[in-house]
Amino acid sequence: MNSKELTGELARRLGYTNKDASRLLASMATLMGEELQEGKTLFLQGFGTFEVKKKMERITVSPTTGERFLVPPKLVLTYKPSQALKEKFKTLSADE
Amino acid sequence: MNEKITLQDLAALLAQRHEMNPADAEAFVGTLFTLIEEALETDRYVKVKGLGTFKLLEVEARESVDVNTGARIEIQSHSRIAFAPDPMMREAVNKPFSHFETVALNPQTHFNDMEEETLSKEVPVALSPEAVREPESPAKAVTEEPASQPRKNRELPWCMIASVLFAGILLGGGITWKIASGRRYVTADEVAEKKAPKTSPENAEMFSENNSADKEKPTQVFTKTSQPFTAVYQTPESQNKTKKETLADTVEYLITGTQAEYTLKPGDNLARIARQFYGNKKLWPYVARHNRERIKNPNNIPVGTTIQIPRLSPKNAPK
Repeated sequence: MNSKELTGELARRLGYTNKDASRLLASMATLMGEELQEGKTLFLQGFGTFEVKKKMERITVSPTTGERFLVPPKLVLTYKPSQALKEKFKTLSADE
Repeated sequence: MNEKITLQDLAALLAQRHEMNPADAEAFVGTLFTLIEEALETDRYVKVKGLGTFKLLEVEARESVDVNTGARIEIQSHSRIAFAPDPMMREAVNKPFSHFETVALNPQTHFNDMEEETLSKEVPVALSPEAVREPESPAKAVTEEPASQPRKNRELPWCMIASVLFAGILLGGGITWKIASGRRYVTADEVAEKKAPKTSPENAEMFSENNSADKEKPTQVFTKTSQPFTAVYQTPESQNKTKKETLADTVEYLITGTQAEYTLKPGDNLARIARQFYGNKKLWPYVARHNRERIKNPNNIPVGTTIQIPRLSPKNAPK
């Protein structure tokens, strides 16, 4: 399901217009981004956790040239699914 | 980092931003995430614009060991949720570190592990001034064992601080010496001025051999006592008196000849003479300079010495 289908489904379920739904979704995303940038953790009940984690700098070696690169430290957004969701998809896969 | 935001907080923020009913906002947020969940279930793939992509990944069955019993077990194949943030989101989150770029490393750079490497990488950059000054080269510092590295770092600034302090002291000393030597006469004059009203007997002795008892008077009287003297020595002074003006000590003057002669009496000193002739006691070094061969010690001139009073004209705009 892509973003368009998602907003369409959201609009249908909640009775918004497609435009409103996509606007709300966009501002929802920026909101989450802002909160995460402040170093906050998003605990979404039943869905999972969004958290920003710091990755340390590291060295990579290019396999073709043998050159070594220092990769700078970075902050990455991680998502950890909730236990319930994890279990659900575990069994789902087992069914298939 | 520890602050937690829940679904409800998110909904409240959303409601605030769009001035919508909080209940509606909560419904929207709730529906959004259930929908993602459902879509994952059906499509195994959901892309949310601005947030990222959720995907169900198949994990193949593999063998493992039970942590408690140590028995070999098989982990069955299952799905796990993978999340990849949207490029926009990724950049927004990484904003504090966005200025960093991947750099190619010098092949000569040696390091044993990651820690040492990053340390040595930073050391030459941060301490480059010292590194240049120190006989220790950065390359050598890099090859050194990591344990000695931090100590080195702490030592270098100390050397730096010490040398800077020393240089500062030298500079300050030089400047004060310069000023003091330049103003030597003035300071001596000030000292004399300070001493004069309080301990006149000794002071008078310093300036003139013959001390008269009537010098023991406070400052106000001082000017009065000098008045009769000027009256007595009217003759050499008369022409000066007419054009007597106060000369500022902020300007440098040139000595352009002699305007009068003056014979020292008991209680006189150069500062007083300068005030008498120029209206500014701080100009007395000119008098001293003009009479260099007559005055051996400006602080102790024998009574009866006849000195020449120089004519002064400003250095910048000579009259």
